Amino acid sequence: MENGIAGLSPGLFDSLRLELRRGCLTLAVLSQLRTERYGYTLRKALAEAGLEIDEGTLYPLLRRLESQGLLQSEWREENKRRKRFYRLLPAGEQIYIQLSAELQRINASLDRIIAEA
Amino acid sequence: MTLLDRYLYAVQSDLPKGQPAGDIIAEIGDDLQSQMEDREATLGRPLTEDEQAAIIKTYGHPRRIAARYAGAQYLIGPELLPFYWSTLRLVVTIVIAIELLGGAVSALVSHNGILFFNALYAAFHSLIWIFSIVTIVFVLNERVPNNGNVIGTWMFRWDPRRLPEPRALPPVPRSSSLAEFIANFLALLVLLDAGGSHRIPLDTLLANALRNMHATLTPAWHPAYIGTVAGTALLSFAAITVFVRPRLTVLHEVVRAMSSAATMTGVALTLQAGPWIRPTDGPLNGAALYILVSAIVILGFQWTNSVRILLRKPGNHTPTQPRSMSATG
Repeated sequence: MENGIAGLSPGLFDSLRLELRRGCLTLAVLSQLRTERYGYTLRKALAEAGLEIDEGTLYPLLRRLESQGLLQSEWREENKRRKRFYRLLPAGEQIYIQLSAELQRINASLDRIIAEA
Repeated sequence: MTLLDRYLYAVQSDLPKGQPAGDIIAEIGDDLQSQMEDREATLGRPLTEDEQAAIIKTYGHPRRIAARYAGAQYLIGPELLPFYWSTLRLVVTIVIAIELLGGAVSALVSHNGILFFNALYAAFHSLIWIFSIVTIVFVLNERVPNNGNVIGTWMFRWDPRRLPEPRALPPVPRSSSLAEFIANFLALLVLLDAGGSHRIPLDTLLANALRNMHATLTPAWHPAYIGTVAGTALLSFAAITVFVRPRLTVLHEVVRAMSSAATMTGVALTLQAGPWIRPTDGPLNGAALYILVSAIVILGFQWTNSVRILLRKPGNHTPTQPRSMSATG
């Protein structure tokens, strides 16, 4: 999306929005993987909840979270096709709880700051 | 081969080395296959090639998708980069200075200018080696896990209490103090090496001109020589001191003022002791007078400048008051 504001570099809004979303996506993915899912259904679930994430971002993110010990994955056959299912590990659950609480605190602060501005 | 197979093959070809290509490709393939099946279910018919191409195109360029699986995409990360540049600058400055100084001293002692050019050539080679070695050390350090990051751990160690206070005189850059030292040290060597009773080093052209005019310098130049030797030695000392401790700027400026004063005194004594050139009745004494007076004016200006810098008040720096932090965040 073009920001359309004179004097600003084109694409600045998109780049700032991307920065804003980056941390939120991790939290959203962790939240959805308390129930076991494979990539495509995870992406659909997030999109239905209003948070679209492209595949090129999701799969590397899942891989990173798995290497950090927050998720585990397993290849299984479903509908005659092999799919990789992900679910949260106990450590991931703990991190998810902490991050959710942190996000709520940030949201509350931001609400106050924006209301005062 | 379907469009999907071709796409997956293209992604696989661009995946970074060391990645589980089979897993990644299977997962991307399953995702795209699921999207196509969903679309077919919606339309109630198989997808045309154009429709398949549209879905694949939305997924992204194969190279871009593959690149997302790469780890660090830089040789030296943004945290270490400033330390890398400062280390490189410091090592280059020290090594090149040692080589050039060594070459200059050898050339002067043996009266063989080729030795200095050999040192220049060696310094060029050293530049390449220094750049390679320092870069390799930092790149290797970037790649080791956090607990083994020796350089990072050492460089990031700091104590706010040891930070210098803001001063009127900023620290002298090491490159500048080193250049100052080399120039003055070489000048000192040339002065000490000079011959004749006056011991003033003359350019060959000037020496020949004097000889052709059957003119010679008188011993009146001796105080100027002593003053210049003292001044140059002081400048060399000041430069090497701030090279080791760049924040000793006050000492640096004090010694520079002393150097100007010493040289000026010597030149003034020479001015007083004239005539400066034999035969004394020629026009050359007028030229010497002009040179000596000009030197006193320039040295006086340098001395005044040093004193002015020393008397300058510290910058208007307002200490930041600690702000009360919100409990939130």
